[in-house]
Amino acid sequence: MKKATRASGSGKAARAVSRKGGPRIDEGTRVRRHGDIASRTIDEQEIVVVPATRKMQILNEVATRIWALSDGRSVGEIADAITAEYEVDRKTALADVIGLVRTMLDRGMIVVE
Amino acid sequence: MTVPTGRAIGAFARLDRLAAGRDMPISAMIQITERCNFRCRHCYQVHPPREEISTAGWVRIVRSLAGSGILFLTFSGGEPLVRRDLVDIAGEARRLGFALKLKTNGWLLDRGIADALRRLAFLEVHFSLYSARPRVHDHVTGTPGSFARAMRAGRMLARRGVGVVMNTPLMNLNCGEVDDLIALSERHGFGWSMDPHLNVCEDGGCSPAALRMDERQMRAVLGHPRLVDRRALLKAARRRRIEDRVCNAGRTSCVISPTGDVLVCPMIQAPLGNLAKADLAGIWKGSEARRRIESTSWASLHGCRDCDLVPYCVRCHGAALFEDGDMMGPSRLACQAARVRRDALLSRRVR
Repeated sequence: MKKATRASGSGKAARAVSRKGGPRIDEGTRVRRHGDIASRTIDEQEIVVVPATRKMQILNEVATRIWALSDGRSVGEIADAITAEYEVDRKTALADVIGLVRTMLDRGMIVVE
Repeated sequence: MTVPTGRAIGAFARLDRLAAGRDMPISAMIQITERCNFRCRHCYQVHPPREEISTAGWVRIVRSLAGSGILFLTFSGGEPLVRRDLVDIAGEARRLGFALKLKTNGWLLDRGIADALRRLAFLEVHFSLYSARPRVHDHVTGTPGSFARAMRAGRMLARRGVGVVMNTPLMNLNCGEVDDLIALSERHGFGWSMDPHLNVCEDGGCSPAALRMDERQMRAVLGHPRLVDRRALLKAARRRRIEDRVCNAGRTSCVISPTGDVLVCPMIQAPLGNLAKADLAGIWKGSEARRRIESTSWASLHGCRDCDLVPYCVRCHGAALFEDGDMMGPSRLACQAARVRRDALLSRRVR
């Protein structure tokens, strides 16, 4: 089982709560990568380019895994997968996933259903 | 000049390190054709357009580039939109997750293509803008109406939310227009960038050199506060060491010619290999020539290693090859520009 580092983009810790507001994110929220995004995995880090903002993010290993799991699954399902794969308890994993989903949503990287 | 700002710089610097660390490029420029509908006065291409790869051939190459870890893909030419299948090839590239860019003169960019570029989430479309005055721009392109068509195409894309950047090679015809060019671009929501170096033809022919800025004009450009951060340049000059790498050619970006040859940059036409015969990783990592160019330092350039202009020099290996016949020797163009840059930066009068 892998040791968990906090999921983050561009080396910054993901914020748990968006200051900008936005839709409520909970265990049942389904998340999907935005269709316009360009990305590549290099050395287990996902490089994500958002055409709408012309910004780039480099995700760390855990955030890269969460990004890969954002294929229409729910936040709860993603947190389950992270708990199974990394040395982290479910509560911490869920908080981390919600924080990262909020950040990725703010940055136009994903859409929520 | 358009430069990434704030945290974006950090992310791009990290990406550069990641790419350099795996000894593979992260971006590729596809010269999809050498045909062009313009006859620009400063164009360096002399040879007639070579035979081009088919649509299916380019799709195969694009798939192979995705597998090699390329993220940024720029379609260039010639004029890339003379290829009617460009949107189809770009569509496959989009499906494969590339961040797409296009370099065009805008003449053939109609509503249908603008819609397609938006649909394919193009990151940026770069236009050549030679003047804020239509008459001068059309004079450089040799094509009446080209200014109006480029601006119209830029506006169509900007309205659709596609990033537009106007690129201006600075010449003696337009170097006095910097403020007008910036204002024009800002008025339409475009980015703007400039290139102060004008290369001679690939066969050494000097016709583009007649359009180069003279030293007085170069000094004026170097004194423009929107173009040059004097303190940053001075700091960079003081930090430069003779062991430093001269340019980024052969490091994190590559060029694919219309025939599928892999090049280190558009100015050095010596192919490292061909993508019809091998994949990019094999070509890139197996090329001694690429390694030699990538690792070239100021110390390895004869005639440069003892030069006191090195801290101020911005040198292009390709320009040295075209103009002076020796890629590893001094470049008259770079020497002249470095002299002007040193004088301008060290002069208290120029701010």
